[in-house]
Amino acid sequence: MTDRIDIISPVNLAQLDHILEKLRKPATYVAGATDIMVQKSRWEQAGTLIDLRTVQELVSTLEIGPEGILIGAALSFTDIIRYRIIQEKFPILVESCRQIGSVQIQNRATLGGNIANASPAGDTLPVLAVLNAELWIGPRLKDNFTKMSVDEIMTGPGKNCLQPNQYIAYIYLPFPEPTDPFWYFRKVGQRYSMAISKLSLAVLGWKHNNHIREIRICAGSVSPRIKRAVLTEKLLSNQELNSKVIEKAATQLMKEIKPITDIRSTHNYRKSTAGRLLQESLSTWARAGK
Amino acid sequence: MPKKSFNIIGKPVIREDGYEKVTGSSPFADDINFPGQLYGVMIRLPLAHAEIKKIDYSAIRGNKLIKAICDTSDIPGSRKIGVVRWDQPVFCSEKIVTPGDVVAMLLGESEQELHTLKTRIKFSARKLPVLTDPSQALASTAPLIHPELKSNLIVHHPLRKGNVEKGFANSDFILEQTYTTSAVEHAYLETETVVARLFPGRRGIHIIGSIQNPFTTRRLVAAVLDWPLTKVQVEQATLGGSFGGKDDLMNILAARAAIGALKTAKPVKIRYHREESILESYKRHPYRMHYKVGYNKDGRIIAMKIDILADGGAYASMSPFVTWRTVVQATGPYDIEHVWTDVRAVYTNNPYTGAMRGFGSPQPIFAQESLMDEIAVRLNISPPEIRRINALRSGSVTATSQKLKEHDVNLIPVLQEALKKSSFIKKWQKNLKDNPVQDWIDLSHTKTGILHPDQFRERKEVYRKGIGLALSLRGCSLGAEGIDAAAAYLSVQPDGSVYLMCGLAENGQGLRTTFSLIVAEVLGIDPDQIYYLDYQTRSIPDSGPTVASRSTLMGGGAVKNAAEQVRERLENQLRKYWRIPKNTQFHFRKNKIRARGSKPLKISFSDLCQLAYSQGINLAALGWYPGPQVHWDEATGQGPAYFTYVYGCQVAEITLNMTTGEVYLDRVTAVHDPGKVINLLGAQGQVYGGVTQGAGYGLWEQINAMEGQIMELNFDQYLIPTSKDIGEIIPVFLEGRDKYGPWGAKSLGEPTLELTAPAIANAIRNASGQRFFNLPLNLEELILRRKLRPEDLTRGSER
Ligand SMILES: Cc1cc2nc3c(=O)[nH]c(=O)nc-3n(C[C@H](O)[C@H](O)[C@H](O)COP(=O)(O)OP(=O)(O)OC[C@H]3O[C@@H](n4cnc5c(N)ncnc54)[C@H](O)[C@@H]3O)c2cc1C
Repeated sequence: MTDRIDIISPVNLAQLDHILEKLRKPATYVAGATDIMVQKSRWEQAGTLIDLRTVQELVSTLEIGPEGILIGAALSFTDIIRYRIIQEKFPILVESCRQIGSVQIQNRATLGGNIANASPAGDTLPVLAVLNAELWIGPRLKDNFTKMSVDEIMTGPGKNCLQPNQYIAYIYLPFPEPTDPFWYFRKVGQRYSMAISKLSLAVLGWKHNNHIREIRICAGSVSPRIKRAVLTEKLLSNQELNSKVIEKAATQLMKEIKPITDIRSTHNYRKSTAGRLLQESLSTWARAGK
Repeated sequence: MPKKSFNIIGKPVIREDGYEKVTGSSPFADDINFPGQLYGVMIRLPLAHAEIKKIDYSAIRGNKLIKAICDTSDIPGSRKIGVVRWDQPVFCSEKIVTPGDVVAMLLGESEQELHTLKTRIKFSARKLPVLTDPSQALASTAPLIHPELKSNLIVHHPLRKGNVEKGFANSDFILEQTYTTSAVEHAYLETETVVARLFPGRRGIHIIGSIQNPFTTRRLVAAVLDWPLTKVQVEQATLGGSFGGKDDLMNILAARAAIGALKTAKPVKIRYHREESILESYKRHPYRMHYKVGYNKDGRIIAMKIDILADGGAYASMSPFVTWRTVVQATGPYDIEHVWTDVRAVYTNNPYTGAMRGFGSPQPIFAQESLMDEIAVRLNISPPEIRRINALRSGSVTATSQKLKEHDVNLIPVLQEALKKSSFIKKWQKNLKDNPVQDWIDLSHTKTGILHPDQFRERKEVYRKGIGLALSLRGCSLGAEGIDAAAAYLSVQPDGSVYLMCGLAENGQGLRTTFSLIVAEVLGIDPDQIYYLDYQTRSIPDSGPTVASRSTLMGGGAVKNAAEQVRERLENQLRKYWRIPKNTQFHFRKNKIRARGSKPLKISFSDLCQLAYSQGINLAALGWYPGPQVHWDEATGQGPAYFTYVYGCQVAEITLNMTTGEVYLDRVTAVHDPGKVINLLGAQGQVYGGVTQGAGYGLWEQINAMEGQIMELNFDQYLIPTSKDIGEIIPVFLEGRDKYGPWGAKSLGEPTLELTAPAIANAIRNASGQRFFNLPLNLEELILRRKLRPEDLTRGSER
């Protein structure tokens, strides 16, 4: 057990990349430290932390492009929630950020940390999946970031595919089509704050002439990796939303997900509740059109 | 003589330690350090039941970082202790009976190094069959936890009243149901900490720590050291929560620290981190309760047969007393002619269970108040109606054949007040109309749990409202559990400032403020003039444990007695000084004393004290308050169990989400008769805290042990309510008269907790049409009707 912890605090991306190139001993990234702090026994042997909250670009970037926005990976949830553009274009993301931990946690915790921590219960992950988020991974190779999707970076509970010298630099979110999107995010935990999800569900969809034109569905805490429910999405596309279809979709979702029983909940609870949450969301959508 | 108007009693007063607590300047036990202090680190074997063969220290022996290794061979006196039965080893040497058990302690200057070194210790042990199911504990095949006791039975309390079989034969209907509750953790924020150091010159040992009952600690440490009580000085540090939890374990930790100090001649500190605290500390008893009730068409309950089994875990601890309160109160506040109750506590290899706020009442109240609603449903009458029909009134006879008299039996009044304050009937009826009962989620094997599409048409059908109530009586103080008396010391200084101390401990309940108010009232002074002294066992007589919601009643009685003794001496002095008749009465108010009657005689309190002092009057007094005699027949469970009772009714209003099983507690109306309220703010605080803890008990909290090993070792897994989880709490006090306690002040701390869970369960019944039998009523219980079981976790895969 070492009493000493080295903290490296690069001030910008160039410096960070330079440090990573030279680094010979294992190091651990730290952003808001809300996960790191409770996982102390896992990294304290290594004893070196790289503080991403000192990297200028990572903590301050919010670039608005013609087709989407680029968010620095070390922005806190509180930062993200406050941007008008995010409130307008990505209310579903704001909703999931607001449900994380408590205000104190939101003040520190970051989007990059939530993704890299790769917990199936990470609350922003299903939302990022339905928003088709693109992760920009550093360091740059010939000036280009490596691009990845949320389901690619996560390889299992608590595991991501990043190499020791790789980090999440930005999250790019394409603007969803502006015409009448329907969105739904629901987190189920044992209590109303400071609770890790037993289950979550994110839905984003568009209708055309009373038919579903496109729908994206992703449930959290129901599989080792974050995956969109593609079969359920397929079943629903081009369908008219009526109670029969909704029931079919819910049944399909329950077949498609593979939740486990762990200390937070049981397989059966997660599975059946996921089905009912989809029912609830689609019924709300069906009503909203009328 | 009942007093009509009060100077300060009953008003809201801010706690004397409020500022320190809010600003974080209170010194807790871990803030106390002595030069040269060593740390004690515990050694445990990861086993639930085993015979210890050998502990092999060779890998660490001789290591300079280790100053000493203590085990049972270092104990000069008693090697086993306990608050009732001495069955718990200070250090285990023969057997491990639960994973929290400690076999030895390493002492050294660096706590961190000791934690690393202890992992190198090797051991050999013979594993024994592990007993985790209390219902198997009395089977002839069950492994014996303490073989020398020849049985796993800790205690059996029978109660026999009337002829229960005849009662059932004369009943129109019979209802039988089984309820269960879970083990729960006290979840005090401050973990256990204690320091022991020798006084110079063989003058004994000084123990200071987060100790709930310093006199119990003193008694047990003295037994372990084989020293007289006088040489063990126990002092209480500011306590960061206890709720009944800092008793047994603190006694053992104090004994271990004392052994360490004796062995090394250095101060020894032991402090637990959260995982260690949850692992070794005792829990609330999980109960399995079978009720059979005979009742008539008109709602009268004729007979009740109750069979209760409590899991005592590895040690007896408080089980005999916890289950005794259960046997007295198991029928609830109802007048029932024929009662047959058996309450048993048994040993298992689970974490041991003991005292926790409520103390054997939250469990049976959950069962019996759920049952009352079930009977009401079957008779098609309302929840208040079934209770009115059966409620105890003044002159009624309890299940132990005690006649309720000489105090206001305010059971019906608290019920009526709660109904009125919460508009109960109106809401209850509306909910019944709004909530179709036939469509609760069906997850039986043929059904998927998908809801009927109609259920999503309106939002209100997913979110349902429910309202429910629960009612209780509670015996005050220790009852026939033990000797009941308390002492207080008061010393008035020549300038009119006052020292005060009581033999009961400030465990966070606000007792120092309450006691200061009592003195302020009697002497007509300002509470700020009172300097509350720190609690030390050498400065005050043993006043029994600070438990059973007895501080205000017993300690308050002693404080009042001390203040009255001094007041009487001051009055006598004044009569002489003013040369007025012997029967003159006085007003003590606002720091002035006036003679009643025509003469405008007055003197300030400080002048009077100066005067008395100059005349050689003793202005110090030791107050004493003995509880009246109670008695109990062990064989039949009959007798006047407690000398007086308090009454309470809580109404819970909830919103239930049909999709997920989530319950939101919208509002709790808590009507209590605690007798006279001394500090209104303190009393309200008790209600807010008790209801919140009770809601945690009802909805979320549960300790799961797998092969005796606790799964939830920290607050990421063990979820207690946060401020966001609890809606409005409305405390209402209906002050009944009583001849006991200071101006009739009785008990409140525990009644506030015991009613919340059943009120919530009954509200869920109102919302869903479903009865749930197993606490906590968490999401899985509501949707799947089953708990997360430890065996599910071993599989950890799909089912
Ligand atoms: C009390 C409490 C409540 C919580 N409640 C919730 C909740 O409700 N929902 C939820 O989803 N989570 C919750 N969490 C978990 C945690 O807050 C989130 O996962 C958060 O997003 C982590 O962000 P962070 O910046 O604090 O990460 P850190 O702790 O700093 O890092 C987490 C992990 O990610 C790595 N990392 C961080 N940033 C990067 C990066 N840019 N590139 C590569 N690797 C990186 C770190 O090395 C580490 O392994 C809670 C945590 C606590 C302590």
